[in-house]
Amino acid sequence: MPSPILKVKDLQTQFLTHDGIVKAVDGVSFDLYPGESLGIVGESGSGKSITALSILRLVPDPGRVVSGKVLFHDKDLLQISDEEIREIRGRDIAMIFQDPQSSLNPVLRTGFQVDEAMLAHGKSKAEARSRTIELLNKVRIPAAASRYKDFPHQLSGGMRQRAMIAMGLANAPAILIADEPTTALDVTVQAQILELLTDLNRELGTAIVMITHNMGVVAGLCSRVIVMYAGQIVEQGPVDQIFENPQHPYTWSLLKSIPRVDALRHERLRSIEGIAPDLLHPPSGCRFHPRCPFRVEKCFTDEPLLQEVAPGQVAACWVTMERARKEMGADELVDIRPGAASGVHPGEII
Amino acid sequence: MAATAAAVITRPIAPEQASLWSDAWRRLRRNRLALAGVIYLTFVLIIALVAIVWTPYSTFRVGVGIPYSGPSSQHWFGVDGLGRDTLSRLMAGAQVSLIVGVGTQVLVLAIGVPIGLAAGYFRGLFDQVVSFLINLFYGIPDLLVALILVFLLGPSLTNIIIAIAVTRWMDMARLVRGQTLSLREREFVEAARAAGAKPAKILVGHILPNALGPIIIQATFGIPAAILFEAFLSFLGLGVPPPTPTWGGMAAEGIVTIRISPAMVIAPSIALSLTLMAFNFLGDGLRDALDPRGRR
Amino acid sequence: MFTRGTLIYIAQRLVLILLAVLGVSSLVFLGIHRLPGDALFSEHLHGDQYQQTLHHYGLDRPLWVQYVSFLAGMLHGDLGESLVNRGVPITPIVVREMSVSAEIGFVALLFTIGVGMLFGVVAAIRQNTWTDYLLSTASVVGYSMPNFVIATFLILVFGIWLDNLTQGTFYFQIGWPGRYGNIGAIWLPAFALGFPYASIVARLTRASMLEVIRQDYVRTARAKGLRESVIMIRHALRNALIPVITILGPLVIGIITGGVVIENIFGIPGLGKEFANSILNRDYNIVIGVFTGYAALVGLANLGVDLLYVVIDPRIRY
Repeated sequence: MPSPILKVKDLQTQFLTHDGIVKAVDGVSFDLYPGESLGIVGESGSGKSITALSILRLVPDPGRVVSGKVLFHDKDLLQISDEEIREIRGRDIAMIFQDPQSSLNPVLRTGFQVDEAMLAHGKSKAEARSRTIELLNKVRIPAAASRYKDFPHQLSGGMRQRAMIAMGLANAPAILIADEPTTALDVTVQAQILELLTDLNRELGTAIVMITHNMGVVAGLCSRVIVMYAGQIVEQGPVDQIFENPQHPYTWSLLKSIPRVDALRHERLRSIEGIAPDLLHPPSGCRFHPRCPFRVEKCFTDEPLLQEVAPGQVAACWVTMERARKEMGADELVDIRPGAASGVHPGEII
Repeated sequence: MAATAAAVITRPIAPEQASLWSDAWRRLRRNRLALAGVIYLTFVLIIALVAIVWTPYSTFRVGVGIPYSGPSSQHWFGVDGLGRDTLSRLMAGAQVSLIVGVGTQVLVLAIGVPIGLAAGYFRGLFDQVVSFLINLFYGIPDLLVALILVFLLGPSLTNIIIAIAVTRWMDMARLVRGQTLSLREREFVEAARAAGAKPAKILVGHILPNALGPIIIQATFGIPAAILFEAFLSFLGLGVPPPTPTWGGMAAEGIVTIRISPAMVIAPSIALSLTLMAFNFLGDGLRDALDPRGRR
Repeated sequence: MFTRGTLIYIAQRLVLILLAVLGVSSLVFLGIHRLPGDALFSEHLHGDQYQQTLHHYGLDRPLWVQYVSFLAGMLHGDLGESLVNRGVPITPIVVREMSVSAEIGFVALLFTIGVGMLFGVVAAIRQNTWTDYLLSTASVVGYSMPNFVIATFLILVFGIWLDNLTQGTFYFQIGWPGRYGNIGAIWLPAFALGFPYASIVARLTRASMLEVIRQDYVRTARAKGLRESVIMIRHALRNALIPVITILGPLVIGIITGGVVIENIFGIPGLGKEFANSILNRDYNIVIGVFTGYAALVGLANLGVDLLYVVIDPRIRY
């Protein structure tokens, strides 16, 4: 097993707001191996985007990376100078964003914006231009040479996102971070973009970090997945394993809530009970406990740490699905309200 | 940026009025510049009122002091070319400025608001005519139109107020029309219509109260614009005719003899500037206070 | 950039400007038609001399005849003859003065945009620091002061106090050498004329930059590894300019009208000075000419602004 190209250790990113400190990323650690495709999954507010932004020191005000290490080729990205991180951005680690409409500058030509990624790192205008056209072709934009001169508003959503991908890959970075690249697109276009990313990952060997809230995207593209909740990692492991046998109740609920084509008619749509946690005042103990059907007393008071629950798979839970299945009849569960399976409600009002 | 839970709150049918105003008032009070503006304007108002019954010297009597003399203990701001006391004239000038400022806005509101409401609500031919007029006047320099009008009608306080109002009512009408256009699509208007309310009632009872914020802000900014206008007119000799003292006119007279007696031009200039500044700070404060986004 | 569509647009606008000019001058003409006769009368011309003069200027004809010949003259570019100075054609005077007014207005505009934007950007980049507060308050002060107050202040400082201070070596002389002046004479009036508007531009630029800096595409630019200065200028500023360009129309009009006062203070031979003179002298034909000149100037300035929009924002095409 080759050594990881990126090691995130105990990352803490906080936002200092008028009302208090929001711990958007609270102790996140993971490794990224060369050429792999890693998915980071979670709902809005889980901290997945901020984690990615923290890696490149792009967290907007009033956010700050408070502590932790981000080791890239054994250099801590959080400690190097502004000039050094600027060089790494776009060249060694690239990031593309969710909404290609707003993420591209409307008054500059598309081709130029792709050129810029290379101009910023020392290539000449001529080199950049020819490589851009090459890239635009590679991301399957038809008539690339004429599209080069177009402004973003002249391209369709799918083409814009492809252009963004071209921008990201311009300098053949070791890592491409994609923050919800398909969320703003039509379903059919989504599939095409994912296919494109899969192919590029395979051909170029660029590691892809795919941030999404959609489990389906993860299933299609990634080999490993990290599940985040309330700023923390709750489960991590190979995609097949996690889908087959999720150990954290949150992951389990997420997978259970995906409607299935073969579901029986009378089966109701399942969603996770409760509302997203308030990161200003996170719940005590395990942050998922207010919504967990399988919680026990310990969950209210002690924060669980990540523990190995299967080969290569870790989860942060006192109960785990294994126990929930054996002792609480999780598979036959109809009522998934908090505490329903475990029967634990210590005087709490939901 | 706090990731607070997005619980669904049912919205009331009509927007909460009371909380907006008290909220705004609270924010306004915290704005020190706006408060300073209000204090200063109250001061000016008091002076103007006092000047009705008393000024240190008569505002019109000539020869009460040595012409062109500078500030002294008897004449705090000096004496002008005809031997009149500058301070007294300054105090009387406040009256003109305030009357022009507020008077024009009253007219602008009286004309612009109903026209804007009607155009925005009823649309149709009336709206097209109004819109055409608004666009027509957009490109024409208001000062020049006012100059023509005053020129033709003859300079007098009333004519000036009319002339300025005629050139400015379009801005108010456009604002009100825009507000009406967006407000009329809101659910509470539909609800009122469905309940059978007459258009007049809808306009006055529903649309107008919601448009009130921007209207007030516009009017507050309109006052210093009108005062500035009058100052320009006076400066060009088309303002309120002498011997009535106006700040603009005093500055015009004073600038000619700036080497001999700078006080003559400095005093009204500062009075004008401070008053305009006060109104602008107040307008800014109102705008920040009434902005629901509260960005600062 | 200047596509066929744009050229057609320019042609359409020029026609509209012509109509507007005719409209304005007609309005003024009809409004004051009675006055020239009265003015001549009050010049103590009586009897034959009065009739002769009236006839010379065509003022004894019925109104509609006068108007038609006035319009005909306008379309030939002939604005008539001066009432006060017989035989002097008005058109060349107005054209010359238009160019002087345009000159000083242009310099003021450069100052307004240049300085205004600079301070706005600085205030935005240093948001909520002392620099920001200082500049923001200064800008409110700036646009609250009437331009003649600023002019007065500048004359006091640079004309009188500096003169006294340096015993006559450095000082500002109010005056206007030659037809188009020189930089020494132009900078002070242009400054006074532009300062209130520079303040407005600064405020707007600041607000606009603050918005733009938060935009997604600025984040993208940063993620690409671009230098901060490049991001600010190439990405942020160009987009922040757009709202500023929007107010450029009223801004230019404001500068033109402000010029009326400034020209009179500094004795600059532009339309504004002519306006005041002609009213004083009761030369009503020139008054009509001046208003016509202003209408043309405003129309052309507005057109210039709209074309500038095309250059800055590629999404705009006529």
